[in-house]
Amino acid sequence: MLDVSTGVALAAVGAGISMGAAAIGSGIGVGIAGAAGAGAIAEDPNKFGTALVFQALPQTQGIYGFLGAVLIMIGTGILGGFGGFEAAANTMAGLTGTTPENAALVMGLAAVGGGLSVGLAGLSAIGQGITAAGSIGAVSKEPGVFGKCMVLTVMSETFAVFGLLITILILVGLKLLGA
Amino acid sequence: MLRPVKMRRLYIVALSKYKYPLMKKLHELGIVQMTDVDRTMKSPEWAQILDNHPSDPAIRQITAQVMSFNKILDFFNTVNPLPEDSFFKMLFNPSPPKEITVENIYGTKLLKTADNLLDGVKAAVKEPEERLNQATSELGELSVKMESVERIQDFRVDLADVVETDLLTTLIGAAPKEHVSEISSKLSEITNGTCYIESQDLSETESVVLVTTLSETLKDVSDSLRKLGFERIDVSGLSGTPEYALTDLEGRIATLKSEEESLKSNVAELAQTWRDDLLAHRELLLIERDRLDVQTNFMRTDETFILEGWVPAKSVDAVKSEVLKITNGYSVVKETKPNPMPEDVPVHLENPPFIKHFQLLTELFGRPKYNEIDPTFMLAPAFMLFFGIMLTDAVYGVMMTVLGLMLLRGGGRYSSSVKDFGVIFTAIGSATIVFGILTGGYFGDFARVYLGMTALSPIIFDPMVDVQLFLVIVLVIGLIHLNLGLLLGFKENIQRKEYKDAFGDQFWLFPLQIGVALLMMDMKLIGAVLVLVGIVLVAIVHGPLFFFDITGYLGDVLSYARLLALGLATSGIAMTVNILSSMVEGVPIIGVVLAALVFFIGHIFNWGMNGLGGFVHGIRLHYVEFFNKFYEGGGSEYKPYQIRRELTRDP
Repeated sequence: MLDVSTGVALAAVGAGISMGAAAIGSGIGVGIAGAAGAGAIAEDPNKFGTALVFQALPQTQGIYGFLGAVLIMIGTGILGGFGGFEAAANTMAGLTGTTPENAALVMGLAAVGGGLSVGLAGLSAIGQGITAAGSIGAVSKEPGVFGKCMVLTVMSETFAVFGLLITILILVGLKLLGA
Repeated sequence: MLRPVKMRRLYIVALSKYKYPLMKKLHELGIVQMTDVDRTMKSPEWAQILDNHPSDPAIRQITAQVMSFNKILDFFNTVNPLPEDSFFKMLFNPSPPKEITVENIYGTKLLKTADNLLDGVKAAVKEPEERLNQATSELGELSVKMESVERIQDFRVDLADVVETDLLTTLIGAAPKEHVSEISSKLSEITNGTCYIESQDLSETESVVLVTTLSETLKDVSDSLRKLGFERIDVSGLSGTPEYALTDLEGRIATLKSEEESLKSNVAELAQTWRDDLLAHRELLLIERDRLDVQTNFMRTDETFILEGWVPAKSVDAVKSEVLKITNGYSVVKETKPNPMPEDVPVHLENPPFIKHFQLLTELFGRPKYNEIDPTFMLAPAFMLFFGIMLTDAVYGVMMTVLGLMLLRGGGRYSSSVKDFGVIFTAIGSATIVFGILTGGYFGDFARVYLGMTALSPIIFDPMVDVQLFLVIVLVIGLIHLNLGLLLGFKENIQRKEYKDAFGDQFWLFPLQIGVALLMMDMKLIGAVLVLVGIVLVAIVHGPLFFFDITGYLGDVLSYARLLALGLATSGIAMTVNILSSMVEGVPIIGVVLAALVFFIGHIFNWGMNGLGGFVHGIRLHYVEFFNKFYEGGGSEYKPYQIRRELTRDP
């Protein structure tokens, strides 16, 4: 028999995937860029600023994952604990004209879907880290290409942005947010 | 504003005797970009009458002088470095640039003055430089000696006895401990017992060994010692026990150091006296060398020379009248228009005061070609709009504006690139304030939810609530932006008579887009026809791969959704920071401090990260989506022949 607690568990899983998967992506991406940065600094310590800017770029996915997790937690009410979720489920049941148990399940699955979208899209940070690493080398050698390398590096982020967008649309579309 | 500045190709032929004054005048005018005459005068007729212009012998002399100046200035800088601003001081509160007032001399007079100056400074610097070098190298030797004597400081011997004479030689050194007995047996074997050996342990593995032997056997003795790992220690010039020698060495080092210091302050004084003069004359010499170097571009006959260059069209008359004045009319000036499809015309951009600071962002992608549109005037407002939407917070906007104004008041006074960034930051900061007020973002929801200031509620919509509306708005902005690019590209292609590109790259999208709009408004027949017209157009021009043109355009439009995602990210993270800091406020005693800490660090982090994000994504939307529709870039920079004065001022 389903009850509200299944929904809570699913919402927690969603928030967890959102942050966790995105953190893997960002962590690896930042690591790749950082290794290249360390190489550039070894040759010329003045390249620290350049290395830092490029190393910061793959961090964005982690921030999106964090944002996704917080939005899920706000939307499903689990930021306010079990009681918060129950209250949100009851409101949702009222909005959609179904039982609180069903509403809780919908909310939980929406959270999982949203979390998967922004979380897995966060793995794009790995690719971004690879481009950032190459860019650190290029800019160290030829400072004039800074802007162009920046654009190359930002390309990977497009998919993370879309991942976050879909998460937000899922949450808004299913009336977890904005209603 | 819309186009790079119009250029004219300029030819000047004049009598050789006016060459120097003319080159000086053009240098001062600073508007002609010299090009190599050789390349355009290729025809045999020209080759018969024209010779290459020889390079002036004075160039070598100047180069030698500049090198000597550099050497002395480098010496001054190692002993007495000029103060330099740190990175942050340079950005926000730079020291005013150095200015040196000097008589503006040129030609032979300059070379002579530079020679005299060089003689004077060389004479003054020679002695202290030599003494300083000597002191430094002696100091190095003494500290090496000190290190080796320290190793044997417990060994009781008068170092004055460790000497080489005609008859006897005494050596001292370190050897591996296990070799000591072997050394003594080997040496007595070589010398038939006519040697004296003394040793003492230095450490676990090393011993000090003293050897006295007849000088005639020294060579054999040294050979076998070396084979057994004996490392000689040089104690020449020392006397007394090693311990006594150490104190003696310390005293000598101290004396040398104080001598070095006094020499350094001596050199610092010399630097004060001479440096400005040297810097100023080096700059004058470099300017003079420019004047002579540029002549290698010319061609000549026996009595005349010819030069070629680019001039902005509006300055042609000014240059002409100056040339005629300088040469008393003994010259010919001719101007021609560049080809309609020019590759090598230098590109000079001229934009109105505010817009021109955004040229930096255009040039980051690539300077326009001579016959291209300069997109800066569209980039400036659109970039501000995009950045405002992506940061969507009035307080963050204020922070951005303040940063921009600080750059303007600080480094912007002396550095044009810092000034550009100052203006850009101030502009995008102001745009962010406007969007922040419209959407009610003040540290996210802080003002509304935590301070209860309902007056600061969203004016048009709350991005966190009306997400769909926000999405529609940014996609419409994207469509407008893209269609602007398409219209420009269409116009450009028509003007260049490239009709195929005009229809296949740009025009097909107009019926397609209108058709889709009509389909959505339920006007099915006309809509479907227009969509079909668009698709057929692109299919004819681009062949079977036209499908990717359609998906590509769809991707371009959807790309503008990043405005929404980044805008929501800013307000979402700001909201999270507020929640986190209200959570830690509950901690007893230090809760308030902790909350303030989380609040400020969190918001500064969010401002920094999303500011960076807004900037790069704003640029990206231009470079990838917008420029792609009409702009190539890749023009060459306009580098006029002009005087580059950084330090010197006329009296």
